[in-house]
Amino acid sequence: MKTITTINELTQVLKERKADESYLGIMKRVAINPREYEKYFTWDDAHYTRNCLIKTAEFELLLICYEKAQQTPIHDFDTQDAWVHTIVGKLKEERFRLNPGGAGLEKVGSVTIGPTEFSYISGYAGMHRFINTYESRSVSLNLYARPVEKWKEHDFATGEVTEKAVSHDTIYVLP
Amino acid sequence: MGLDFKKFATEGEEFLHNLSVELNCANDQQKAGRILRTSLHAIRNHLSPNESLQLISQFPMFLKAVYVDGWKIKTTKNKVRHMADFVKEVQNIAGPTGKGDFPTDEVVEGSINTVFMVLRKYISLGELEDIKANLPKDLKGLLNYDILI
Repeated sequence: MKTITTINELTQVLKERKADESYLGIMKRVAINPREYEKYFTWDDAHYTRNCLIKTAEFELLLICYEKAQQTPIHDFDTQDAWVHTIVGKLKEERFRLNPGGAGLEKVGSVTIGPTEFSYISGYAGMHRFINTYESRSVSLNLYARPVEKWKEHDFATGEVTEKAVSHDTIYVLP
Repeated sequence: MGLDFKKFATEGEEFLHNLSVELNCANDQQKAGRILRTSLHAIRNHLSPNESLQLISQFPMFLKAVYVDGWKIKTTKNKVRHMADFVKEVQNIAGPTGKGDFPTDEVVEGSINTVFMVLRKYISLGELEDIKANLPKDLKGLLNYDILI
């Protein structure tokens, strides 16, 4: 399969995706030099940033930028599928379920996502959070099909759920 | 509640189509079906009956049937020492098409990994982690091959 070497090529391939090609198959063809993404990175000392490269009715492509040790809240979302691919640094994904023996949540597993792996997240019972465990900044390329419009944040200790509309730090309009 | 077999069939066909796309064989759903059946039966051999029942309790009806088809319940799990043993086991389960559908270790691991990615919409994270925890040491990477599910 032909590799995808530019961001514009990636957005075109995603927009023109045929029914017999999977989103993951497209993501696995990505061989974009991390430097090409740099102009879309944004950083904030207070929180990780969500930078939307393209959003259609079918999918949304984001760059998520983490300063060292920054992390997302424990959350899940209303989309069908998501793939997370680290392009700079290393992320730990922790996964949770409702604590069967009491209140709050229980951590059920964790995986480390490096540049060779894809983390697949299903909207079904998928409470998780990402932590930048790398010694420096990390960035992930996230593909959501369909776009995430809202998500639920979960309090680890109490299990309390807060529904929030998803926001972006920057929205680029790539062709 | 009545049994709507047409609905089960429609759901099954949609699932198989999605799986064939993910397995990169969209023009060969028969192959996707064989890989699904073989993958489920191979994993089944390494779970206790109780673990299997917990897993299939989350499956839709069409998948329950595929999982239990031909199941001879044993109280002991199959033992494998190396991935190579598991690859042979998978090829044996697959029968005459085994060497074509599962020619290498990488294809075995990648196929099972992909099957469970597509199954993920039916399996809770807790159940998935229980399955991983109960797999033999040498097979623990199966469900996190290059897709971390």
